[in-house]
Amino acid sequence: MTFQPVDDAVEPRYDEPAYRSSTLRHPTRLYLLPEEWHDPAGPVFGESDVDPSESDLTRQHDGEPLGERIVVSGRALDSDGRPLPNTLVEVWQANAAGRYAHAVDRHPAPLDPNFTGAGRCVTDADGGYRFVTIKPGAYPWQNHPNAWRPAHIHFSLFGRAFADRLVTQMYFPGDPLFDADPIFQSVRDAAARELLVSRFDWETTEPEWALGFRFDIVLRSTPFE
Amino acid sequence: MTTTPSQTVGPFFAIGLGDQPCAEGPLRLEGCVYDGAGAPVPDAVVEVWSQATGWGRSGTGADGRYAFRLCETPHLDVQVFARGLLKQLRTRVFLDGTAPDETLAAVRDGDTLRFDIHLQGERQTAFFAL
Repeated sequence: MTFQPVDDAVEPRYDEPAYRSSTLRHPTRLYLLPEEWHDPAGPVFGESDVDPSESDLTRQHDGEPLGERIVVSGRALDSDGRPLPNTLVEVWQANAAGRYAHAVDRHPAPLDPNFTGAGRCVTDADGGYRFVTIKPGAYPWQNHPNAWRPAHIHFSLFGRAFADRLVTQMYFPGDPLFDADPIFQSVRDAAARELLVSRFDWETTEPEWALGFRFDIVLRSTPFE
Repeated sequence: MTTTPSQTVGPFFAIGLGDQPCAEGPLRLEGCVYDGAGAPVPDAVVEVWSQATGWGRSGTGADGRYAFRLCETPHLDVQVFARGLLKQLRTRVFLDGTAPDETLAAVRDGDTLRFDIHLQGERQTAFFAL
C-alpha cells in the first residue's frame, strides 16, 4: 500500500514557527487516511463514568479556592449542528494566580491548597455540559521575551468516532493578551479564533454567586457513519 | 457549522487527562515518543482505540515512554497529543505483522510489542491528516 501525501491546510497547522515548542515536534509529511481505515466507532461514555461532584472544581478540597467563581457551560455539537450526548468532557486549568498544580510549573505564583484545577462530566441528552470553577489567571511562559498566555481553560472532548476527538482551549472575552499569543494566533482565521472565546452570559450568571460564561464546542463528524 | 479549532494540550495536561487502561489482556504495548532531534518527549500523551481493546490513554514519563496492557487485536488507532502539537497526530499501529509501512509495525517480543513514535525526522512515523 502506498499512502497518498496531502497538504495539511486545516488550522492550526502543525508547523507554527512562532510557537517554539512546535519546531522539533511537527511532522513534515502527512498522508491521506486510507478509506478502509475509517472507523465510525469510538469509546462510549455514560453518567456512571464520572461522579457528579467532578464538575464542581470549587468543592474538591476542605475549603473553597480563592478567585472569581464562575459557571462555564455550553453544548457539544457535531458539524451538522446535532447535539453530542454522552460524550466525556475533561477540563484542566491554572488557579486564580496563574499557577498549575503540576510539578513542572515553576511560575512563582502561589499554589492554592483548595484548588486542583481538573474536572470531568458527561454531556446530557442535549449535548449540554456545566462546570463550576474559578477564573484562571494569565501566566508567563518561556516562548519569547515577556511571553504571557491569555487566561484559558483546557477542554478535551470525544464525540461519536475516535477520529472526531478534539482538545482545545477556551478563552475569556476581550483578553488584551490575544494579539501576542502564538497559540491563539495559530488559528489564522479571525472568525475561527472567535470560536475559542467564551461569551459572558447573564442567563447562566447566578445572583450573589457566580458569573456565567458560555462556550459551545463543535466537533468534526466522521463522514463514514 | 465550523468546527472549533484545536489547541495544544500544553505541558500540564496530566492534571486533567489521567491515564486510562484498555481492556486487560496478556499483551503489553510500549514505546517511546521522540522529537525531531531524537530526544524523548516527556510531555506527550498517547491514546489508542480499537473495538476489541476499547480506549486507553498513557502519558509519557521523563523518559518519553508510554505503555498499555492489551488483549489481542490486529491493529489500534493511535492519537498523539503533546506540548508543541497544536493538534493531535493520528496514525495506526499494526500488532499482527501486516503493517503496510515499516513505521507502523509494532515489534513483537513474546507478549511485549514495541512501537516507538517519531514525531519528525528521517524515521518519522506515518501520520494521517485529521
